[in-house]
Amino acid sequence: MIKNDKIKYSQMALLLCVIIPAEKVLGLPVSSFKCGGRDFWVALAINFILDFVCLIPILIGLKNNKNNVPVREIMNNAIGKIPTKIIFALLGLTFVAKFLVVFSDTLSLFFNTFVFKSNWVAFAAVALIAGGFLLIRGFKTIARLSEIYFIPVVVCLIAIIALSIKDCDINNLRPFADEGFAKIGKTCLFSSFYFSDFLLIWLLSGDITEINKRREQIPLGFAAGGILAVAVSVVYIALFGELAHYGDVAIARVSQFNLNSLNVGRLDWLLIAVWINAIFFLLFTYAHCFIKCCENVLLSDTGEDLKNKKKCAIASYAVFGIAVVLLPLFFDIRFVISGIMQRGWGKYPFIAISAALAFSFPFFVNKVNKKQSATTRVRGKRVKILEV
Amino acid sequence: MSKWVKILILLGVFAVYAILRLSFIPIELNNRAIILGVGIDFDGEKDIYKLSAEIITPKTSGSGSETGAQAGGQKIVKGEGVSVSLAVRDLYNCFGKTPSFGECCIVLIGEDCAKRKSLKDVLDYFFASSAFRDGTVVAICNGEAEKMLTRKSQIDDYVSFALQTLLVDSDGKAQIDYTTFNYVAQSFFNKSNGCYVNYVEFLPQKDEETAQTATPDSSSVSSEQGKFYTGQAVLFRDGKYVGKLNRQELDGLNLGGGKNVFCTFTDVTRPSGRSLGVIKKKGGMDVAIEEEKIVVSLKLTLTVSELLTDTTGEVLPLQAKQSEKLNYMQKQGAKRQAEEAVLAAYQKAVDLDCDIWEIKNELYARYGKEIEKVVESEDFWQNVTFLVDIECIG
Amino acid sequence: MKKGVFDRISSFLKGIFGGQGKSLSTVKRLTNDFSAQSDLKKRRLVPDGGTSGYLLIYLDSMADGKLIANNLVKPLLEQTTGDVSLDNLQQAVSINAETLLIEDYDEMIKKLINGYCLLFDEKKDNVCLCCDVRVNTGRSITEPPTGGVSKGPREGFVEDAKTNLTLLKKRLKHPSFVADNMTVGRYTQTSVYVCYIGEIIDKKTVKRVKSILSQIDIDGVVDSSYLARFLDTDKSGFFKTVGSTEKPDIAVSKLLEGRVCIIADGSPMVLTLPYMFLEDLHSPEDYYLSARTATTSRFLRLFSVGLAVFIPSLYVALQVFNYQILPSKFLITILTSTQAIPFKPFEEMLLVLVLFDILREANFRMPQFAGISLSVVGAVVLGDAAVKAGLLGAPAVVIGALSGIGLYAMPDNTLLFSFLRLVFLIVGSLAGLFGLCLVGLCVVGYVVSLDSYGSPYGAPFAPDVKNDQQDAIVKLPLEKLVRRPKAVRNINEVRQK
Repeated sequence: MIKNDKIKYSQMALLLCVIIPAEKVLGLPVSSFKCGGRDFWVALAINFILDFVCLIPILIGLKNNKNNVPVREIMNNAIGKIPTKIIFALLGLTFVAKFLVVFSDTLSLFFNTFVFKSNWVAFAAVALIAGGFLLIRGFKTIARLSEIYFIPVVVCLIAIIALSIKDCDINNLRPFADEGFAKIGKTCLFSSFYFSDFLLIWLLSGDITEINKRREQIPLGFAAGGILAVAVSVVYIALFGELAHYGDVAIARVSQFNLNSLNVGRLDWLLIAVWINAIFFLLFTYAHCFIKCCENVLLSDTGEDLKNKKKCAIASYAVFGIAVVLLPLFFDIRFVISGIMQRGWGKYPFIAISAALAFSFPFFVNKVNKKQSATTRVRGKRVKILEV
Repeated sequence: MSKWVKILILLGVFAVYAILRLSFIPIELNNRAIILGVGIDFDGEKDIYKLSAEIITPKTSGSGSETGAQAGGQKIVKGEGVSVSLAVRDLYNCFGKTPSFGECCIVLIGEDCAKRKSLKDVLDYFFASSAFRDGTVVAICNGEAEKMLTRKSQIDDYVSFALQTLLVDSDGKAQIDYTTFNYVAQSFFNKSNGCYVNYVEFLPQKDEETAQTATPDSSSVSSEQGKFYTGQAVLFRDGKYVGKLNRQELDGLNLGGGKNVFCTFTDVTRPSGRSLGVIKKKGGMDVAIEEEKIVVSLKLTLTVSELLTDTTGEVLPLQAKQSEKLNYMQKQGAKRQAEEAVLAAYQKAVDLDCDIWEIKNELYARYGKEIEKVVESEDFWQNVTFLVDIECIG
Repeated sequence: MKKGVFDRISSFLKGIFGGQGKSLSTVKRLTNDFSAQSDLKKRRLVPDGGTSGYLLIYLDSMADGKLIANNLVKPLLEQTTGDVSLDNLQQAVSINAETLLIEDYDEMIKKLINGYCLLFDEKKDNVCLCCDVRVNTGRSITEPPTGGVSKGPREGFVEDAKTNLTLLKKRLKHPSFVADNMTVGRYTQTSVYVCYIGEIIDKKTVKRVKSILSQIDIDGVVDSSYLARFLDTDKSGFFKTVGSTEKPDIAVSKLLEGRVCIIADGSPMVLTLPYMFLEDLHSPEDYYLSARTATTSRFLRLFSVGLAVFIPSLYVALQVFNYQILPSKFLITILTSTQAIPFKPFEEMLLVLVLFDILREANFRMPQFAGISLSVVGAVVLGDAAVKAGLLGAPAVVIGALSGIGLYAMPDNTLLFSFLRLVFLIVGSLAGLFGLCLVGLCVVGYVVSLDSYGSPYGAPFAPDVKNDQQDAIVKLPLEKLVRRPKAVRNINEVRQK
């Protein structure tokens, strides 16, 4: 968990391309349709564009962060230790909530689509054990896995979309925005909790290496992921029209139309079975981000002894696992989270904090850089020049 | 690794195994009754739905003395209930194996049931259930669906497969495109609110030889030989049965908006000789508002040819051999028949107030809310001018 | 003075001024140390006109009598000048054989037990002439049983390290090809050569390998696989991180890529490291056939292995959890064939796989004369009769057979894939596609997290190494392979200009 957390810029780009569509093609299209009608895909596209806009300052900060200073140090330097800890604590809770939302949608996929009868504990415990096994080997393992799985996962997703296009009815998308843009705006706010993927880059900025080579990779990966997610939503509404409110999981319903004859079996599920690895990558990434947030909150300094870091990581993951497995047994966690973060007040601070973190990042990085460059060599010795 | 860590790991592995074993309930194939097709009837006297399902019965080697186990491997299970979902649930009660709908490829609705009940009520269970593919075929059958499922077909041992072959696998050569859950369900929610559904008939063969060789009538399989005929359609408006399309009207439906191009005409120069068929269809239907009137114009260019085969004997509409060009009389004859068919289909749609070509959908998609009131008004058809312009080339 | 003191003084003086006593004492020491060896031979040789003799000591089982007679005794006895010094004798003898003058007692023992003979001058005290008269009893160079090819060289390594080194040196005629000799094993004193090309290899790798080998304190090294266990970087033992080959052309191509080869005396398997997972996908023939053929073959191998590992588990998982994926007609076939089977799908498939593995193991060990009849038993009884008796279903037998054969597409990892196949089968029967996805992820994740002497095990796909992908699965023509693999650390990237 501790060593082997450094990942390459190109790996991050591939990982983003794989995980960005993952959570947005499960339950989001159905719930967004119920909120915004047939134009919900426009709301998703707008959210992606806003995410992309927020990504730009983060990439600028990343580029300027030549010394790979961890984000905690940047934030400590900028706003102080206590506010930093509060922000990381909130982010940690956000990642737990996101994990629960995505995982419950994944379970819907298995229960309803694969007709897989089981219970939450079985799924969650097994997935967490697998996640723990991979994260112990380091986040680099997830990044390397994304390099291997990138092509099969993306090809399967494109195949699911492309093979269903023949049955699409463009009239289901028209008329465009006949109920006004206010509804689209409302849907943007409603679905905002599923976005803000730039926070992943922000949080892991200190672990991303080899930034100077081909800087367009992350924006491309981000954009490709966004386009795929919006494409699934568009195809979903084009296939089902007003029927889109039936069912839970959009991608499983879209994939039904991949096949012509009814006698060939649900071979589209094989495509989904390959694609579903993207969801596991997303879940493990969220778990890793939660661990990182816990480290940033609980540990006192960066770069100190590995033993403490390891203990903190294992303890965080254990707490994460217990929360994820046990919480849904006591109440409908999905309903609670969507009640707060989608229908309720939670989305406003979430959007505000995410945007603030993104836009302030390059300035904070510059501040840290100035502080570090204030030391200089004098006759071979490092001397700190006092600020006047 | 210390002893306690090893013990913990072993316990962990055992715990995972226990969780998996107890949580994921496997059901073997042999413990399932895999349903291929479902038939729905309505008993007016008892006011209940009767569900019959055709399940896979593996072929037995030997005489097949068990009840229902035939050389053909066909078996019907039945259930009843006040609603369709209760009738489905009733299937679980009367059969020792778990009924599984994952392979269900067709839902047959008896004609009587279709006339009495709304399709919305009949099919709602299937729309909501994820086990059924949205592409599952929906068809209305003459008589009872239960009897239809017990017929013997020359195409396949299983009636569901036989019907599917006729409807789905015809690959554009059938007279009518097959109708699915998705298509039918969307018609309930869109502005057109109307749809057509395949109509299936069983035409018995009156043959003495087959009567002699027929096996004794068992409780599950009818020995009547015959063939399935799927060249008709039933119209629904808002899920309610409104009428049927005859052959000519069906041709008109296809020409006006169907995906199929397989349409035949009589050659007026020699009516009892070869017939003419449509190879290609270009153009389509356009809707527009002109001077506060809705104008629907159908402009088609049909490439017509004498029906022939290629050198292998296959009838390939798109690759039919072009022998001589058709003469003027033939083309005019085809044009007239096409226009008559289209107008007949349109007239039927108007009479039954069933928007078979989804004209209202197109209008709403184009003009949005401003046309909504007109589209939803009861005298919509009176505001529509329907223009047909078909040109036959060949 | 007491006698013991006198003896000591006398020995001391003799030790300074020389004499018969010291040389005798060396011989005596040797005789005492090898007193348990019944094949220790001593011969006294006196040349014509000589006043003192020479003592020849050798182990009869290790030394070749003819070579002793021709290379040593004959030249010695032909000396007509009387007493000959060992230096002069060395000049006479070294025309025919390798000779050394040795003063160190441990070195003498080492040479003696390695088959050299020792010639002592009775007058001289502390030095002997050591001559290479080792008997050559090794296997001749033949085509190795593994790695047979239809095109390309057919020589294979043998058990003699020196011969193996010769096979390499025949192909690498460059002074920068280095073979460092080490000895491992307290009792076997196995000679190990660490071979590398100095101008290409990263010295850190060599240093690390030598350090590991020098730290091995074991009673004996019988085969190179013993060394491989110490050199493996993955201590779990599932995935080997040290490659092996029986073919010199393969070993040379590995050396040219910047790898290290380790030859162990007594083993025909030469170790190569660093090793990456995809190396087993490559066949020697890939480099002797066209690039397109090689690419097609590699894809086929990868597909075979994937099929072999996953298809039994998929068959069970789909039957038990996700039957909807199976086409309807295939479902009817499976139902028809399994309705009378008394076993559950998992038990049935497990039985098929275990039977296949039993057949495979028996095949390796059964005597040749029994091979044919037992093969018939395997095929007819287990395959045909079991299906007819209703113990196993035909689809399960077909899938088991396909899986069993497909494993051999990557022969070095057959046992690993067999084990993985079993794991996937158990997981598939317990948790269906969900379990298969997760376990697949864990296995692949484990593989990509390993490294072999600084080279990522999952290279060139994880991490992505573009240069190396031109000879991973898709193989580009030879003229396009201009750079050495970047995943293998080296100091000289350019292969072709």
